[in-house]
Amino acid sequence: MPTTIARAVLYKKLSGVLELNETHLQWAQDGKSAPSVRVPHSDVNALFSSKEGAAQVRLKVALAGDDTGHNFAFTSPKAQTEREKFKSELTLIVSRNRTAAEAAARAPPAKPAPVARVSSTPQRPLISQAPSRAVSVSSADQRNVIIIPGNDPATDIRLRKTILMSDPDLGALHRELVAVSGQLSEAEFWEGREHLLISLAASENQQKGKAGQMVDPRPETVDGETKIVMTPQLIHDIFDEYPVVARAHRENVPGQLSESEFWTRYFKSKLYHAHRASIRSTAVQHVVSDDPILDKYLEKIDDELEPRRQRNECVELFVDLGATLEDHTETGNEKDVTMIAGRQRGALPLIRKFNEHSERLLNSALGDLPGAKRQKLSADGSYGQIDIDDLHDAEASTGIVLEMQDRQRYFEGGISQSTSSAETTLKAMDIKTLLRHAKAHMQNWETNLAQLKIERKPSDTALGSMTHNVASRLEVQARKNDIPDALFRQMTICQSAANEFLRQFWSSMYPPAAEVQVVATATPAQRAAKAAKMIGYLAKTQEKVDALVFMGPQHNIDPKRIEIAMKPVINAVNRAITFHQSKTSSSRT
Amino acid sequence: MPPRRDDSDSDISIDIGEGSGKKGKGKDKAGDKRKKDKGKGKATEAAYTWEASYTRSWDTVQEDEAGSLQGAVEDWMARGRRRRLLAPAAPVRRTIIRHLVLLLDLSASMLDRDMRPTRFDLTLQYAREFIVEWFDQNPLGQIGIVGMRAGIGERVGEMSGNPQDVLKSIADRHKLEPMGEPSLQNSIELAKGSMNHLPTHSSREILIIFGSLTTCDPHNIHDTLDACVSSKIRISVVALAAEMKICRELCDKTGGQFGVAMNEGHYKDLLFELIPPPAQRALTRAAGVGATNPAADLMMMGFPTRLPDASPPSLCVCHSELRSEGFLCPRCMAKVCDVPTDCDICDLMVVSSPHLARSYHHLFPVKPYTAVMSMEDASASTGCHGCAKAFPTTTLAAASEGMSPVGRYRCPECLGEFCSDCDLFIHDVLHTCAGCGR
Repeated sequence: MPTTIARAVLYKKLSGVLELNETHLQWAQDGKSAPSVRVPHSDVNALFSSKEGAAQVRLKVALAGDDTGHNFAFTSPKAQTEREKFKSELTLIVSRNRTAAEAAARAPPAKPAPVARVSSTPQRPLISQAPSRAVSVSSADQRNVIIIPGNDPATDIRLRKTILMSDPDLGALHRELVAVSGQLSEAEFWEGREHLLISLAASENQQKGKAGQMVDPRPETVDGETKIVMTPQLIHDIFDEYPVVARAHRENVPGQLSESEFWTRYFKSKLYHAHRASIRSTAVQHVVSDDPILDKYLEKIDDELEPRRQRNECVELFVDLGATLEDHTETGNEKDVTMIAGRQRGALPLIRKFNEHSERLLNSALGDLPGAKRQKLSADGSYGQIDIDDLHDAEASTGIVLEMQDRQRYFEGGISQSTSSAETTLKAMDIKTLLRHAKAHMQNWETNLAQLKIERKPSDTALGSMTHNVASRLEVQARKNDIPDALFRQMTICQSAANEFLRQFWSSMYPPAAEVQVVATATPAQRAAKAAKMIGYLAKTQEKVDALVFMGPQHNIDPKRIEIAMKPVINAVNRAITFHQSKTSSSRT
Repeated sequence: MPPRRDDSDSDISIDIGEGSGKKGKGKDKAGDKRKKDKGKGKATEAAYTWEASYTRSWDTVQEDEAGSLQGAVEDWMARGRRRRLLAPAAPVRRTIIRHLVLLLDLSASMLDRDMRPTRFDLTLQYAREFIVEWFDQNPLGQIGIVGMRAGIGERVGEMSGNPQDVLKSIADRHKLEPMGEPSLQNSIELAKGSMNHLPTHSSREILIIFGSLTTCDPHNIHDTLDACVSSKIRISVVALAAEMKICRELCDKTGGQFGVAMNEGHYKDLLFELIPPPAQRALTRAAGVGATNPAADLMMMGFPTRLPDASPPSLCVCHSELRSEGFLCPRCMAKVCDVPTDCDICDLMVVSSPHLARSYHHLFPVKPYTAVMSMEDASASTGCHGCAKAFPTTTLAAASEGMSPVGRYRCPECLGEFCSDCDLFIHDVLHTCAGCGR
């Protein structure tokens, strides 16, 4: 492989030279020496290309942290082949970057997985990971206020940036209040929004656990040939699972065997079949061939009664199959012979392999723990072990009994009121007279009914008012928001700014019960100062709204409507101001 | 398949190779399936799952001698009645303001068809019903949704007090397509992250619907469990496959409930049992600072002013949109779109009184009615105290426990006698005795 390839390409419709050298992919415009695009290999994240036979031969390089990437068009007559050259080189780089990223994401960091291709070239040294993205935003250094304790400033800033980018409204507000006008400090802005950061941090800090399956490469049969597709991930897994393969690989590749030869031989060897996660061994004899190199690494099959790797932990009696002692001789129980570990000898290696696999998996998740901690011994000894939860009475409820003052009144409140009123009316009238009255009313009911005439006017007004009500609702629903975008945006900006000040004001008035550990909790004096500052800002809201109302006619909007739309904000602001006045005057007196 | 058998008879040598190949494949698949179905054993009972559930429906409903299904239905209802009798009679403290994160397993194991149509589809359907019912019973609560998929937790829906918002977040089935392995640890951490800022007077709960038998965690999950215990998060698990030690432990240590669903109906029962607010535990928080606080505290709430539908549109604080309807926060006069909510400006809890009333019935449950066991015992009334339906005059012969042979159920307070339909309606829907009002 040549160390550097360079071809003429178009980038942003300018012709220039695209060059791929040892460390960077770069593009320089014709006639200029300094490259205007310069991408370190480690940043190349993905590769896209136009279809074969498309009008333009394009290649797109996506970068880590920047999905838009760079777009190059190959112009020369041999564009296809030229692009293929870049493509094949860049594919290697991309796959290596991904493996590195995956390996870095997994703790503890594994050794870099070698590339499994036949055409693989000698390993280039891995370039260190891309510089932290936080560098680009570190200009805001004086605002480096750490919001979540235990986070380094760089990630903290990055988290904040992500939140602002994902929520345009919040972003606009932040720009308006913090970046442009500086009315709020960064810390003040995020106060009360810590949960956004915490939850984002929680979702970002996730690592994938290691899946519990054993490595079992599945051969695919294509056109009668059995193939196993080797991916860097698979190789990594195999090395991880069977260190002996890694050793064989280290010692023989590329000295005696090439990469592909090694794997072909491995999958035919006894070594591979000893590693398979099943006892499908009967048919295997025909397929497996002797292999002078790999057979050296064969270990003795682990099917003795005692496992090759002795476990030094003490097994809890309750789960120990060997513990079938005669321990209750008075009742006459005998040594149990039905359960013997390893009665079927063929299963032993498999069982032990599973055990080792599980242990390895647990170790990878838990890290190195002292042996004492590793085993969760039940505190209450062997008696506690046979105390089965399901046999306990579930009845024992531990709920706190609800005690309520004047409990009786809660139930009687509604009843007594209604009964007392009913009783008074009942008392006022005697039942007999009531009955008499009712009877008198009922006489001639047929003729009365026939003569009944409904007055026109009251029913008309009733219907009229109902129609009016429905109409006004309909009108509200049908009315569209026809305020022009520009004006509306100004209104919302004004409103959300005012809301933010209000939020700050109220939070300084009624500080929330701090459950989240904030770096510094404000003292009462600080809070009072903050409240006064916010009131200062809020006092200007009326002017701003007036200005907006004034702008109404320019946009052919009835100023009344703007005024009404902004009414709740003004009300809220006035409420805050009066509240603040009463608070301060009362505290002074 | 007869033709194939013929083939194998005639041409043995070829068929052996082919047959063994096929057999191997079949075995593999069966092995996979068995692994997933572990603990259920249903696959072995019937060739196809739909057959299994088909037979099941006959098991539950049986006609009595007269060919009527009435007895079976009564029996079904009696079961619920007996369960109610088990509940403690004295009212206990319960958390009225609840915060729940629903953790849905979206791993590949949810595609199993042992519950029809699949575990996944059934779970989505039940989750929707659960959310509706939950908000109906706990109007002051909030639900967030997290999915476990491909080894990490995914935030599907943010914490919200609006049932519509929550339902919308799981409305699109295609966004939730199951994939990969679940990670209990990652998703619990994620759920925990979205609840950490909540005040202590509200409950923090996680409900896990878990279909897998494995969890694929990056670190020690017992650390996560300890963290949940210390931040007073209650975890409940409804398992669809089998009991897992870690799931049981999560529930036991945090004071939640654990259950393994046996079939579709049981699944729903387990899920819906978690709707009533949990009782506050007395002794478990011995480690709390300054001992547990037995005295109740008052908390501040505001009752908003409702703006009429037809008022001219104005900007709301929650969406910055022009709307006519809305509620004014009594403390800061901000206009919010929906109640109940925490005011966006001053964080005051804004509720309406029906919401409170609806939450209160959990604190004062209607006492369970006692079944009247014989005609001698019954009162003189001939009709139900609630609906005036005439009581049966004959004594039903086969009555199971908790079921009245004369079809009468008596309120211990007012001694009014109700028919079984009214009993059910009063306890499940009305939550107040029709006779004495408590």
